Amino acid sequence: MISPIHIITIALGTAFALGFTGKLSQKISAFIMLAAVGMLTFISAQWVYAFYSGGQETIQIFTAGFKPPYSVNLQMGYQEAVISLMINFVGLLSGIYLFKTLVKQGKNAIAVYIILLMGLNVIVLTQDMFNLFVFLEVQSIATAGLIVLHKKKHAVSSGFKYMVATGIIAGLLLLGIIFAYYFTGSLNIQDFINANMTASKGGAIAVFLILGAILLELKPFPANGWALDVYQSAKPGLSAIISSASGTAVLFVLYKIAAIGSFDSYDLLANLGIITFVGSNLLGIKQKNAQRLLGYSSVGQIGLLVMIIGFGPVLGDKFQFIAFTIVVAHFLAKAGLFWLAGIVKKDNIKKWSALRKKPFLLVLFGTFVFTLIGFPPFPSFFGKWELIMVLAAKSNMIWVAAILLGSFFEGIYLFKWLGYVIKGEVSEKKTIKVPVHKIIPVAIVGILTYVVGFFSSTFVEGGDIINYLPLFFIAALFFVDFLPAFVKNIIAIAGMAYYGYTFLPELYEKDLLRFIFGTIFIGGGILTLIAGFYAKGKRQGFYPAALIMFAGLGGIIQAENMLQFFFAWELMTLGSYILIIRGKRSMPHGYSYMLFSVAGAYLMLIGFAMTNAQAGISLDALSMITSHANLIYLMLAIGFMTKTATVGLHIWLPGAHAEAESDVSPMVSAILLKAGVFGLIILFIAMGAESAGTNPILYILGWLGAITALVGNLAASFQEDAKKLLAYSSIGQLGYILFAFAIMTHLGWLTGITYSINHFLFKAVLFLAIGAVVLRVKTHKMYEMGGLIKRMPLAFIAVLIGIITLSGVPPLSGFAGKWLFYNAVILKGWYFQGAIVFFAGIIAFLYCFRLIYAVFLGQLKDEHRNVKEISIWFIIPIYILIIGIMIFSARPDLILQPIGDAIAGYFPSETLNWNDTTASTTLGYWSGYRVMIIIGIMFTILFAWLALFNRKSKKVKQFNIVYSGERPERPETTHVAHNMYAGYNKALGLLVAPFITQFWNYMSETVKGTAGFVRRVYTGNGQTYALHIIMYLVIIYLIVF
Amino acid sequence: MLKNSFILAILIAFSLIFVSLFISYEGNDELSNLGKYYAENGVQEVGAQNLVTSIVVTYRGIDTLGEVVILFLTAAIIGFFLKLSKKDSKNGKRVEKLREASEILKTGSQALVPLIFMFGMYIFINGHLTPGGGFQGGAVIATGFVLMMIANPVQKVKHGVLAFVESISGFSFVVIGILGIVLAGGFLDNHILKLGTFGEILSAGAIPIIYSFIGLKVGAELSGIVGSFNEIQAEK
Amino acid sequence: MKYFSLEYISIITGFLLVVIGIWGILTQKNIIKMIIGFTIFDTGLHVIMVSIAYVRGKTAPILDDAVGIKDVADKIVDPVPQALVLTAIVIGLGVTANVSLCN
Repeated sequence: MISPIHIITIALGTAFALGFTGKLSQKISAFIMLAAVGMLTFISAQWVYAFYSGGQETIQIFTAGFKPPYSVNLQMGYQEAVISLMINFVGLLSGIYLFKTLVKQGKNAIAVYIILLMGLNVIVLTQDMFNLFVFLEVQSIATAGLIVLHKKKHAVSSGFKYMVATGIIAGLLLLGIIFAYYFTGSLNIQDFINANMTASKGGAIAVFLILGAILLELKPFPANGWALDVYQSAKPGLSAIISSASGTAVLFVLYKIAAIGSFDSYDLLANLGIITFVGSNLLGIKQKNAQRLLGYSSVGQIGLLVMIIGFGPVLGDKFQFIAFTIVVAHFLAKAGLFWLAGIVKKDNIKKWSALRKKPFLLVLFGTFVFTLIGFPPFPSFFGKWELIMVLAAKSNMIWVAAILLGSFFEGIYLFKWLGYVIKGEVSEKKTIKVPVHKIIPVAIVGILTYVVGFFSSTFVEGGDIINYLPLFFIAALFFVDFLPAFVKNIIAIAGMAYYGYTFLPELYEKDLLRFIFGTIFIGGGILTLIAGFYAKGKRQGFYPAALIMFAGLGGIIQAENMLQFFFAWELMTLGSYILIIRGKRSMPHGYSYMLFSVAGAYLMLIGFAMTNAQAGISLDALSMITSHANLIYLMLAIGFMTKTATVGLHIWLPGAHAEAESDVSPMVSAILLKAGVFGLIILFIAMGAESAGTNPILYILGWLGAITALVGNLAASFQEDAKKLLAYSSIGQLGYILFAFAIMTHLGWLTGITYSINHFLFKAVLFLAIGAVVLRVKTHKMYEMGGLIKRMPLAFIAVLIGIITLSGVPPLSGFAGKWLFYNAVILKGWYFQGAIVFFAGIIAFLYCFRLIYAVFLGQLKDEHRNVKEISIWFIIPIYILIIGIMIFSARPDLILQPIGDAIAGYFPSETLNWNDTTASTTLGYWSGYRVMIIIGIMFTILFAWLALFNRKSKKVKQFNIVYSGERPERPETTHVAHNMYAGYNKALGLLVAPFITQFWNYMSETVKGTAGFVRRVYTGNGQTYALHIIMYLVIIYLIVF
Repeated sequence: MLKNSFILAILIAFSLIFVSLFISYEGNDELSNLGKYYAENGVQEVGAQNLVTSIVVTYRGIDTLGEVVILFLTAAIIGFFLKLSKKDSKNGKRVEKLREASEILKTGSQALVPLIFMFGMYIFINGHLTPGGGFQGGAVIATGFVLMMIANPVQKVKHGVLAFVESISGFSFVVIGILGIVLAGGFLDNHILKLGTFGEILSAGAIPIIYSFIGLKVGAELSGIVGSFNEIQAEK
Repeated sequence: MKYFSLEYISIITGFLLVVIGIWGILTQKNIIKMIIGFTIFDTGLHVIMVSIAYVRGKTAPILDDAVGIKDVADKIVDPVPQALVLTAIVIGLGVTANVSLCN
């Protein structure tokens, strides 16, 4: 074992020795430096290993051979070893990254660099307060030096601001230390802690100055203008160190010395930390400069960690895990992002789209962004989960809300940035240069985020049973992304099939409800993937994203506890987001999808945390809630309803579904929306049948469902865009489903399940068919289509069957839903809501007609005269689904009877009676099989009658406009399908006026406005920043003392 | 003006902190625990007459190392900055010609500089016996250097030599520190040499040696810093 | 009037210097004056440190004829802050040099 003291000797020896290497070349000097940093890394790594493998105890290193407090001692424990390893590791990687720069800048810069790392190590290890001060100054002067060495604009002035700020902070720290010495007669931190200084006022002020100075070193909002300027103007390789290594080291110092204060000072730290977290992330929203934005994010993350340190005594034995996962996530992601900033070399985040030409970098960028926000499978996800759980258990709900608010703000700008990267215009022809020595560090930290995340999960209660198999599969698939699309499609389908095989048969025996949704998710996924064979080329990035979504969907079904559920839920969100924004114009919609999803997920998280506090982590615990039950249910319901796009939370859906690629639309519409439904089912099961009559939430949800149905259908009727029409129709259909489940009777649930199955079947058919048509005719606008029945009869039949099912007329399975529905409504007695839904059902005919008429009937457009039938790869899944519709229509009892038995447990008093294939309630009876036969006979008779007695019908030429009600020439706005329901719009358009969109716009403008206003405190003047520091302390002083 | 009154108000509020500190301050009638320990054991353990020196060089030797590092950093950064600004102004001509120093200054400095250097060395070699030490001695040496610069404004500072002295002495400092681990109780322990007779110049173990290196290093660094500043000024 | 004794006067002076120094840092437009503000700030801190080291009626912590080896503890002021102030001066120098460099 090499003593940690040699971290100092090696670093300093190297730094000093560089001076008399004389004419040795700069390159060799840089190599020597790297070797030295490598040694430092090795030393801390071996200590980490020794502690990890057990048996090693914390050791003290006495300098000069005397015991503390008489001499300075260094402490090497597990925590110190880990932090020191982090510092040296990022130092090594950054050294590689900055290699060429350092060589160019020469020996002085190289020496300063290694001294910076040494200073950081010592402040972590030292147990002496004054020694801490000295090496804090070493690191801040070294940092300032490296900032100044960079010849970027403003680098020198930001170095000046940095020195002024740290100079004042250091002075105040010194003042605190000397008075602490006066009161305790020691300089050792342990003695400070034991002395209980806060008992006297003078001692309390000394503590205040010390903790305040260390806190100010961590750049708390709003006294941090100087730090932001530094992040912005320093060389990215250096900013990485400042943010990751220095931030981590000083955080550790704060953790180490926090105990010199009292419980009140922990409270204070927590408060100041959360203010920083929320405030800094709020201001980030208006920021356009990439490095400054990362600065805001760094400040925010460190604020969160300060808060966690402040909560140290509350978090108890969970503290280490929470702090470590969040700090390591920040550490890795921020280093990676700053390094990426140095590769991209674009200040404005809008120009980062240049990354897109390097898919590898793009993936790394996405990894870091999702790590920062705390998505699975990254370590911060588990850290935040535990944090929220513990806080909720100790009923600190305001803190939970504040943390999630701050995270949400962070999400706002990080997702915006991600959007610019993925969808922004790439105007320049030349691609960015990616030197090998710069990409290696980024790749290493990128991979580490996954590794650490994976190991983190095993430490969380309930995390050890997370199914990582699909994720490993996806990771493998990612590495063969260079293969052509059809090969990957085969692999993906095989993988999905195997994944379904691993859990679906078992579910069939155990839990039919889950089985049905599992089949929709996985089976539906396979069907829609078949359509993917149409794609040519490589289709990079599509398969990992799609499979992440399906893995998440499968995970929701498999989940036994809330952590698994939430893990899978977030995974699904992540995958679907990437899928959605692949569409050409889908960026703004994908963005709002993400924001609604994240906000919804946070509400769910709060609900889960409150449940966990009362009844444990199992999903069944939801039914055992004893207090605040309705609040929890409401938050969960809102969370799930962001995915089902209930009115008010629906504004993301139309754009997201309509602008997605042709085979993605059915995935996100027919399949993904069911995830929300499934969540609602779990929620309703937990609420229990007995709540049906009494719980106001159900009543409200019922109304919401009804209104959603009406608004969705009405809005669908007024669309010109065929895919948008289908998207709005989904909103309406999901409204039915919500309404049906909210009825909370046996019949109501059967209705809901029938609707869910139906919606899956017909929406997949419709979106696949229309998507395929769009691929052929290259437009979404219905009035630019028409007469396609002649060119695409198979597509026409598919859409026809789809809309018959949708509209719920006999003989297809839509009628089964309707029949159950009216029975359920009447038995429940929700007449008024039922009437609204009924009315909505009528409106559905309007858009169904418009869809089939405008696309397939009428006049064929000139430019479509030679268009081909839709691709065979779409026809196959469509007709498989149609077979499904036929079976379900003829024999609904095959599914509904066992399901009815399965859910009978929840509604013991009532059932639907089945007699062979006939279902009956007190109101009447119905048999899908017979209805089909009757309608079939009627149809045959009618057809025969027409054929026999109406022979006078004549074939009309295409341009015989008398019969088609259109003018085939342009302008197309005169087309009958254009603004088809203008009259209705006049009468009912008020109902679908974009009130809700306006409301959300107003909200977002308010947030942005606030951010812009508060941001004015950063004037860019060094003296003002110094004044902020003083004011910050004064205000805290006046509040505390 | 308004801004300044605002700042004044803030500062007055800030002074409240100092007022409270002052109120809690009552002076000392006896040494602190730490001070008492050093007073009672310092002589036996370290063997230096100057107790401050035994604390600075041995008990808290690592602080001093940090201090030396700070000077080193400052010199390195300023030296680098000099290189930068030289690069920037390569094309520009030196605008003003420096005036020659007067004869009195020249002659006087020739007489004084060796004395000043000697005085500086005396201070750092006797750091363990008398008030003084490496930093003070180094600073005195640097003043001699300043005098040289004033007397010969045209002559270029030999940064290479200074850097060499600096590096050698810094490196030796670290080596002595490591020897402390190998031969004695810990990093920077002065017991690698015998403590010797109390009060003699060769006593207190390694302290005189360490202080000599510090003195040389500080002298070289301060000289380098002053020289660099002077040149940066001239470049501007 | 106990506040008229040496240690109180010096510590008040120190505090005043600190405040004056901060005033200079915050308000002076001339960079040189601002840097002077820094040095005043530092000096104030050093004065405070030395005042804290002071023990009433005692002398410098150097063993010579006046201070015998035997009862050192009763004769000297606290050597610790004096050692610290030495370090602090050098650090202050480093900070000031870097501040002035950045212009």
